Amino acid sequence: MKTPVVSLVNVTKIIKGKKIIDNLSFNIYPGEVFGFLGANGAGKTTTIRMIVGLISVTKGEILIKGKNIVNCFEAAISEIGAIVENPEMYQFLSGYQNLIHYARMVNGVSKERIHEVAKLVGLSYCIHNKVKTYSLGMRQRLGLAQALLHSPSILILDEPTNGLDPAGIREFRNYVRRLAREEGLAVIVSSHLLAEMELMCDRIGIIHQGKMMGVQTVNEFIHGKKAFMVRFHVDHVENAVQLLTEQFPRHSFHANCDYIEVFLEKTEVPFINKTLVEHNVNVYGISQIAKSLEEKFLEVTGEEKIG
Amino acid sequence: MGNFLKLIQNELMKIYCRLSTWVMYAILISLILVVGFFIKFIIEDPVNGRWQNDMEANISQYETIINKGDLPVTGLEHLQREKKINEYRLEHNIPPIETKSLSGFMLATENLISVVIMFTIIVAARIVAEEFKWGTIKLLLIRPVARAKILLSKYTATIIFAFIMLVVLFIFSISIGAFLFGGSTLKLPYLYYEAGGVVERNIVSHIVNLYSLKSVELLMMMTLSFMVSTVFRSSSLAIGLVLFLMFSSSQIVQILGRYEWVKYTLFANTNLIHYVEGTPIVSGMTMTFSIMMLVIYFIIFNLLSWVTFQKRDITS
Repeated sequence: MKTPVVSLVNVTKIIKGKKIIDNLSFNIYPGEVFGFLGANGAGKTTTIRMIVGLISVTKGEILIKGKNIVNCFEAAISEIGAIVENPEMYQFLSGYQNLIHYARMVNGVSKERIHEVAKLVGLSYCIHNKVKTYSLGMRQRLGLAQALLHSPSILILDEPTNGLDPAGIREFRNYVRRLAREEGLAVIVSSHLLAEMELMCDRIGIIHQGKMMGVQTVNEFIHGKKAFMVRFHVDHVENAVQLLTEQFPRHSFHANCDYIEVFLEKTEVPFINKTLVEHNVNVYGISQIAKSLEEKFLEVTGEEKIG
Repeated sequence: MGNFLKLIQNELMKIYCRLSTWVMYAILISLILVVGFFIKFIIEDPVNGRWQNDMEANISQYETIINKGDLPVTGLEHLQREKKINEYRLEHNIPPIETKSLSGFMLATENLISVVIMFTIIVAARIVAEEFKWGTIKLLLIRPVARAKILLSKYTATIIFAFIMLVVLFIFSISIGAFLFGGSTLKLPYLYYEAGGVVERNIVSHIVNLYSLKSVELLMMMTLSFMVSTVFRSSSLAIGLVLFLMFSSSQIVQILGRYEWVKYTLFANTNLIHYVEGTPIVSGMTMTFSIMMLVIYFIIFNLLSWVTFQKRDITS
């Protein structure tokens, strides 16, 4: 088993007598993209701010490669590159000056490295322009550049795709995945955009009202354990349902205009199919209906109705 | 240490890459020019007479007032000193410093240090508070540098800004002055009264001394502004409060001058020039007392800044 690079152990944060984060524990391993999912105000940003040492920890401990973020701040934070909420940069400085500024605060970042990172995020052509002339997407890239400058082993991105256009999001997602896969970075991404997380992350932790509701891999998360919903596209739907209900009384089949839906284990699918074919029902297609992350999310956090 | 110098370099970059900083320099230099042209072209030339006659006239005028005897003690002391100095001039043949001379001009522009203090208050107020306002504080504090060090680099950068501005004031004053009035008068000494006798002093060293005494006030105002800015994270509050206190303090201290406790307030002690020329605000105050009070305030202000900055949760 790999050793975790980030480890939260029973972390609690109390602000003005109110429990914002309640006994949170989870580990993050090198080479994975960990999605930190929750509604606005669930405690994502508070947790991230604790991990990077911007706010204090009331109880519990946060270890970055075994180093406590509170007691060994400088050693621990050296491993982290982060964007916390919007990447706010110095508007009156150029992109390059902003990067120089952060490069001066760590050891061993050369001028070449600054240009290399600028090229990496695709800002080379305008790196000497003032940040106030940048678009939101360009600022987002500059934010990423400052986070990667010192080649950290952990990358923390708080709501990173805010304000990016669809093409930008896609590019960003691919880039993050590549960093994790090729450079072995551990990436923590927080978001309230479910579809986004589904595509970007390996594992997802759902936080709700300051509590961790569960950490699962994306596959487990969406598909559940073994059984899943299967849709059979057939002709004579009514007859087919009648037939199947007789043959497989344990299952409940739902008829629709041109398909049947049923909750099955994988191994049962061929038997159903065989039965249908043997009774001269034409099968046009069999598909697995994955639950979207959204449904799963609402299931886990408990849907709150408006009004 | 190399690391710390880089932090200061960062802060200076953030100060000097802003247009407003250069506007401050432009204002300062224009003011020096305005003072210069005013003295050169608007003030009337002195009547060409012997300065000795003026001295004699002054002395007899002082004597009449002193003999009347209805002056408060401080005023009386002041006149007696002036009288002694005038007598000394006659005795040793040292003419007074003319306004329309390089020395006179330098003494006039020395007052522009108040403008430098004002600008320094603004810079000190902004250097911490604006990081919060811009949200850049978050990216600044997630570096492997202790918060105390970051704050110290900001404080040091503000001192450097103030020092450079003082140097600019001095150099521009002396060169514009030399250009307008010629440099010959610098040889004349400055006379002042100390420990019962009149003392001669080189004028340049006197002016440098004035600059350094005013720098104490500068440092205190800057530290106060820096503290308010750090604790309340609002640059406008810091600028407003400190400038208000700076401009109204002398009146307030005057009004409250009859109370003994006034001497423990910050603003009764910031103006050390009182001890060199003139009289203290509350009688019985000494330079040593004021310096001690200033050191106490200095420590309190800095403790407040550092402790709050160290402990603060960055939630903005």
